[in-house]
Amino acid sequence: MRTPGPLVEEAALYENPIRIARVRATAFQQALPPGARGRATMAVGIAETPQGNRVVLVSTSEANRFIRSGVAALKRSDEIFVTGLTTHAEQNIVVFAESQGWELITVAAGRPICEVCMAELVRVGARPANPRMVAAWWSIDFS
Amino acid sequence: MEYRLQLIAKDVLGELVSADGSRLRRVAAAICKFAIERAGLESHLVNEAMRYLVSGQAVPMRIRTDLEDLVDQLDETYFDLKEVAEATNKGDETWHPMFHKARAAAAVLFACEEDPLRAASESAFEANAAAHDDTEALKKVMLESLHGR
Repeated sequence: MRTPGPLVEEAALYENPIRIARVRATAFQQALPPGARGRATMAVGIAETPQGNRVVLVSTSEANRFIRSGVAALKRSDEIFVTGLTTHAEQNIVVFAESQGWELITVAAGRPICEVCMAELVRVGARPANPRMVAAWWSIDFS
Repeated sequence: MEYRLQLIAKDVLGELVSADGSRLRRVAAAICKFAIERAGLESHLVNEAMRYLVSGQAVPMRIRTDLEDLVDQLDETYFDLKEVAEATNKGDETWHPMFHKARAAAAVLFACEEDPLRAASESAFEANAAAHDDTEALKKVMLESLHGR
């Protein structure tokens, strides 16, 4: 059973995780320097632990454990950086959540999600939070 | 998060916080030398900036502006190579060296910052990426320059 938290934001993680992921992914993407904004991808995932607690995962498509200065400045203390597992921001989140045994609820990216990452999100049952991808997700036949 | 260094070396950041400005400048210069060597970055502009950093002098704005341009150019080349590698299923080795060079140049750029703690800590985070995430080697360089060994 999850422990109720005092933050409004924490409640929103349960009520509207897609919106939270999308807003944060957009903010992190905008925090990249201009030259990297259209070349690197920032992604944000909302995952749920077996205890029912929801956590915010932040990732980048850049190499290793590298995080841009503006991105780090934007990070909140309750957000977790997930970096260096793959070179795709969304896949980093998938891999990390699986390694922790967490259920991945949704993932948003600051740029369009590529087909490979989309397939990974579908595989683990996470909803893509990007507006153009939400409709696509619902059209997928999971049977 | 104020300093990215806390992601990789929280213990060393704690030591930097209590160090004086001149000591931090010395650490930043040592970090830059380490990053440049590890990344194999060769640049007259970087060498010019390093002469100021090593002597503890402020780096002129003209050089800092040119350094910003250099970092942008190296980053652009790194992204170009990475995108080609991903499109053609080539390995990371095709773009990693350019990523390391961009980070080494960024380490020098951050070392020029007016706030000596920010200069040393942010330069160190970039240097860690320039040195292929060899955090232990970076920490050794930082502690040796910090404690004057």
